Amino acid sequence: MSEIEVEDPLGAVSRSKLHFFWIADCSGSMAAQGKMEALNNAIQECIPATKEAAENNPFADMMVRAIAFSNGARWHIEDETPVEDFVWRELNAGGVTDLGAAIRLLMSELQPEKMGRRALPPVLVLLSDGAPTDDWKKELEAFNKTGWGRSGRTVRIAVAIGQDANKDVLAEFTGTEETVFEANNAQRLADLIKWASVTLSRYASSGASQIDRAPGDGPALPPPPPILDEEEEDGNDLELW
Amino acid sequence: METLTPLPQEQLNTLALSVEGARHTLHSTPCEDASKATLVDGVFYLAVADGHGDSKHHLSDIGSKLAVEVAEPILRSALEALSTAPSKRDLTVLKEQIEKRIRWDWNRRCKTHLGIESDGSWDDGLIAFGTTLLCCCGNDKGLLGFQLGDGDMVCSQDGTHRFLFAESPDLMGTVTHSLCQPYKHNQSMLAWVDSSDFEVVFLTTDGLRDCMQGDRKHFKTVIPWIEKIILENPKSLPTWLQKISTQGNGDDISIALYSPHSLYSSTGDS
Repeated sequence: MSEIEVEDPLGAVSRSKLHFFWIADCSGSMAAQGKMEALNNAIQECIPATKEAAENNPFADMMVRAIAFSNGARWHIEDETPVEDFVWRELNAGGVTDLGAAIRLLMSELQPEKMGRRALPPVLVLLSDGAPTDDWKKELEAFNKTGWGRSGRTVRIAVAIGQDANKDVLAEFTGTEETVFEANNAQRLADLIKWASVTLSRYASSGASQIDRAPGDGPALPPPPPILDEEEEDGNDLELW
Repeated sequence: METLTPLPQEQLNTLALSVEGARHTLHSTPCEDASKATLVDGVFYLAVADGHGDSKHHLSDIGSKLAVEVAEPILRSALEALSTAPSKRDLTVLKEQIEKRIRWDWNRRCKTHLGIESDGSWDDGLIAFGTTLLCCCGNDKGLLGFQLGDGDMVCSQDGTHRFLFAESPDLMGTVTHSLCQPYKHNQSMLAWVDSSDFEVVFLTTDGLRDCMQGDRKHFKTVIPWIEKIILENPKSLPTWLQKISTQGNGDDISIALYSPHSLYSSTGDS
């Protein structure tokens, strides 16, 4: 081998990025029974635990973004934000439920050209209380055919907020009904949001290889938080959605 | 902790090395990579394998070791056939034959490890052994490279580094093909390179490139540096790779390398 002047590439070494996306329904129905307020509070409250979990993970950098959808969709947090700088600004409810627009916006960012090909599996958390009002299916099908959208490339869960949420739609988004979780009160919503933010981000950043999966086969996620006895027993004291 | 394959004097043209990733050290889990390099009668064989390493694949450290072992005689035999009958280089057919033979032998060896005396048919007990496999075999005629799953194989000549295989559009993020899956058409890749088109061959599991943002351009800068370390202070190579893992994603890293010239300087220590 010839002797050539080369530089130590150690300086170019970096930790893997974990991209985390909140996809929040801000339709008018979210204003009812304090659901929007509960969502805002839950995300706000999970930030310290998320930051702590990220600090204890020396091998990944968690980057947070958020999409809000109602009449169309928009970036609520557009730039990939290191979790240590993550601040949640309150969302307001109003309008219809354009889930398809949210998926299209997500798809525009989850491109190999922007994300690279070797990132950790992005975590997508969909929070919705209703049924879509646009052509969500077309957008989802398009997304599921892209490099990062294909089965097993992302970690997807959905939280069905209240009884009126269309769980079939949410299951189509996540790939299986097993990754759709019901939140029928503010405490359960907070528990699930914290679980998604802390436990799922830790799971997704484990770096373990995932063998290529058949469509519909989602990853085996860590178990969701248990429904506490007092939540069930004292359910009458909690506002049910 | 690192494992450096002992090199007999006659094998100073090859190197294989697997280092335990920083994440594995932190969580007291074993290195799930394996690597192998041999040079016999002028024919070299290099292999690296990356065990998947979560609870579903809890025997992947065994699976990766078996993978680099079972592929050697199969690739040597294929290379010999190609070298004596170059007109029969129908790589599409050969690829399937090689992959099926490797899978069969690997399945059988994994089953034996489980105490099952059986043939090499697929069984869901094999999932526990999940691993990738990247290997090649070469002589004075050329090189035959085989890949199932992620990892990189680079042929270098005159300071130019060329990836033998394009990145599979199927493999994004941490998704990979694996020996622990049932055979499926077109998951593996096979390539032939004439000996006039390469000098040094370098194989690595995905742990190394993933610490360089997964970027092939960045990753290419690693190769001349590793060559330099080997020439000047080969004993420091495991430590340097562990530094990469610690500053990067914490994954195990395996490399295997062949050069027609001795990889070790007269003052170096093998």
